[in-house]
Order: sequence, then structure tokens, then C-alpha cells
Amino acid sequence: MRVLLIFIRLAYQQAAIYRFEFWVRIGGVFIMMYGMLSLWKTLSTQGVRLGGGIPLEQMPTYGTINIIIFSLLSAAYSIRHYVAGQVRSGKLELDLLKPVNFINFMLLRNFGEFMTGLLVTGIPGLVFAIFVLKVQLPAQPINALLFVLSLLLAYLIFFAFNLLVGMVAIVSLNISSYTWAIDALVSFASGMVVPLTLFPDKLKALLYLLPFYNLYQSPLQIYLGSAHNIYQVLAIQLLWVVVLFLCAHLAWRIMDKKVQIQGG
Amino acid sequence: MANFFYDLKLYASILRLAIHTRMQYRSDFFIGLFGVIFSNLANLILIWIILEKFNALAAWSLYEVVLLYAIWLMSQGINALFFWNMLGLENYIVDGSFDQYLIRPMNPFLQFIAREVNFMGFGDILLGVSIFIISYNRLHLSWSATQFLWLFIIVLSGTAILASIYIIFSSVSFWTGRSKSLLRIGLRFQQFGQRYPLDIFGQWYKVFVSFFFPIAFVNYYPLAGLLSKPNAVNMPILAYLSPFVAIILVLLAIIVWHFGINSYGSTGS
Repeated sequence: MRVLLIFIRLAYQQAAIYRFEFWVRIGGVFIMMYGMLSLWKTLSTQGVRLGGGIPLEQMPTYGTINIIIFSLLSAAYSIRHYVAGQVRSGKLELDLLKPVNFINFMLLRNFGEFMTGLLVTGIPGLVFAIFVLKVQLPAQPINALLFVLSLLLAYLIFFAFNLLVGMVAIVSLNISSYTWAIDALVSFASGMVVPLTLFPDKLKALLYLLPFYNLYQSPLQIYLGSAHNIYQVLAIQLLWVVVLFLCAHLAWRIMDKKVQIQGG
Repeated sequence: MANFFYDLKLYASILRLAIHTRMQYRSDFFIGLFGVIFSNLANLILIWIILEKFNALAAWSLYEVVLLYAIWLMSQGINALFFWNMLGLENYIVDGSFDQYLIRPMNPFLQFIAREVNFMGFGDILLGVSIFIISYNRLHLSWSATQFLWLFIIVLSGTAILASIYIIFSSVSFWTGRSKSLLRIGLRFQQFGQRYPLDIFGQWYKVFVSFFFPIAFVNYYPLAGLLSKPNAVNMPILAYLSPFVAIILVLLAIIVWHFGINSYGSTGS
């Protein structure tokens, strides 16, 4: 509880310092939600039946809540720039000198940003979506609760993934050339634009092997109550959290050696 | 004015340096090109999936939407080639390295944008032209020379609109030290503009991207005009306004940049 209060205070301070940015961010999120809602409303009046997965009438809610998830997950982007930037400027060794595990340090650094996002855009966004845009409520109260948990897991997955992306900078120095392809893959395979349930079967099977659908589609399926088994969805998310964090630790161990060899 | 032409000459030579720097990392170039092609292919597949399920996006068929996408891509490509460094302005301001552009005897704006050439822009342009030709043929269009000239002007106007938006958004960091999340939201809006015809959105959204954040003038309004479609707000005149919107935005960008630089106090480091 005390931690939460600290985060609320931090979020408030951030919003107060960067007041202009705060309003633009929240305004942008609201307008985008409205845009997505109207887009999917128009599409769903065209009366086409979608095969399986998420029913057509739930799509406007899917598209709207999607935007909130996008704005929350984008906190994790900064970690890749941070790592890559520290590598390029040679400041990484300052982080290495700190007597804490590098990955935990990064996570704590970034988690604050996620919590700030949750308070600054997440909760206002949800209120706006439910009371003004009148999207569907979570299927059951338990879905609402598990949706938040699922969001947290999605964030952890995206965090670990971005940490890995940033670490590649230690090898290749310039990450901007391939992050475009990676971001495209994420938006393609995560259900951020179109849920994977609409994809052709073969492509769908392939994309379910990747972790990305756990970022958008899984939390939304929990929110909408369209998942067969909520706990299975959460379990898969948790599994990916574990796998990606293990990868990050492993990659870090290898990188750590490499950095030492190169010297400061 | 003579000063300005001198600066332009300097700009050209710094640009040449930037190209040479980039050429040193040849593998980056190929990875980047792959990235451009892959990311756009992914976007096009998404459009195809939506259209396969819904037959039409409002009254726009698949190849018309692809045409919308192609025009955007060409403008975006030119913009990426020359104005890419703008996106990173925040970093220069936060760590104080923007000072270097203010102490040299040359226009800081030209110095700053000459710093980097993003070759991925070539990929965008190439891909834009290719999918333009494909959908042009699939739609059995036959435009006159004047219409192609008009298309050329549209693409340049689109470039100016996008570049101005980047400049204005990035310049915010002169005051606040932060512009990343602003740019990220702007980028997301632009993705909507690139992919979907405006008709499909609600009324307020149409008004917003037409008159407040006028990205609909990059591709939607001029193309609706060229395809003789009624546009989303039923104002046929908007089809011809892209160059004017571009000029207004460029002026606005110049003003914001100018005031930004004047209020910039180095953070020191």
C-alpha cells in the first residue's frame, strides 16, 4: 500500500512537471480510443461473421481497450534506448559498478514508468472508455481483476523482450536499423491491430509460437471473457515471463564478459 | 539571403559526410532495407486480412487502400531521408550536446538535420512506388500527365506536412526536455492515416485529423479527389488543399522552432 502511495505521488509529480506532455498524452490516447471505437463500429455493421475467437460485437471494445494497453506497454520501450545509449556512450560500466543485479536494477527503474503510465493514462483511459465511449464492461468482476494481472504479465514480457533488444546494441552498436522490423513484427503478431483470431489458420498457428500475442490479445481476451480458460491464458503468459527473463539473464551473463574484455 | 545560400552549400557538404558515415556500416543498410520491406509487408498483410473479412473499408476497395498507403509511403520516405535526426532532438537537448549547433556560424536547423541521412527512406520510396504501380494497374486507372504532376506535388506536400509535424513535436523538448512520448502518439496516429480511409472513423475523429492534426491531407483528401470519390466530410475543395496545408504547417514549424531555440537554455553537463 505504501509503495502504491509512493507511485501515486511520483505520477502526480511527473504530471505536474511535464504538464503539457501529460495533457497531450491523455488527449492523444482519448482521441485514438475514439478513433478505434468508431472504426470497429463501422466495420461491425457490415454484418460479416467472423469465424471463432472474438465475436464481432466485441471488436469495438477490443480496439478501444487495445489503445490503453499500447500506452501502458510503451513504458518498456525506453529500456532498449537506455541500454543501447549506455553502451554507445560507454556509461554502462557505471551501472555495472552498482552493487545490484543489472536486470533487477533495470526492472525497478522501468517499473516506475509503467506504474506512472497506469495512473496517468491507464485508469483515466479506462474510465473514459467505460463511461464516455460506453464500451463493454469486463465480462465478470473476476475478469476485471485478472485483466490487471494479465496486463502486468504483458508488461513483464515486453520489458524482458526490450531488454534483449537493447542488449543487442552491445554487439551491433546501432539498433535503430533493425528495431523497425522488430516493432513491425510485434504490432503484426500481438493482436495490436487485428486479433490473431482473424488471421488465416496457417499464419495463426505460426504466430502462436511467438510470445507477442500475450501482449495484447491475451489481456483483452480476459477482459472480454472470450478465452476458453482464463487461467490457461495467464499460465502461458507467466511461462513466457519466465522464459524471457531467463533469456535476458543468460544474455546478460554473456554480455557482461564481453564488456569486461573490451574494457572501458 | 546570401548567408542562407552559403548555409545551403554547407548543408550539402555535411549531408555528403553523413552519407559517407552511413556507408561505413553497410550491413546496417541491408538490415534496415530488410526492416522496411518486412514492416510494410506486415502492414499490407494486416490491411489484406481486414479487407478479406469485411470486403471494403467504408467504400474503399483493397487496391484503393493500398494506393492510399503507397502515397503515404513516398512522402514518409523523403521525410525519413532528410529529416530523420529531428526525432532524436530530445537526446541532444537533454545531454546538452545541442549547444554545438548554436556556436557554429551556420543555420542551426540545417546543421542539425544534415547530421543524419536515413537510408531506410530509400526503401520506403522504392516500395511506395512499386505498390503504387501495382495498384494503379489493378485499378485500371489512366491518369493524365497533369494528374501525375499533381501527384508529385501531393507527395512533396505530404513530405512537408509530415516533416513539419516532426519538427513541431520535437521542438516541444526545447521547453520541456521531453518529446518522445508525444512523437510516439503522433506516430500511432500516422499509422491510422496511412492504413485506413478516413470515412471509416467517427465524425470527431475526422474533424481532428482534418483541421487540428491535419495528416488526412497527406494522402486521404488528395487521393479521394484523384479517384473522384466523395470525401469523408463532403467538402470536395479539400482535395486540392494539400499544398496550402503544407505551407501553413511549414510556417508554423519555422515559428515554433525559432521560439524553441530562443528559449533553449542549455542543461549543461
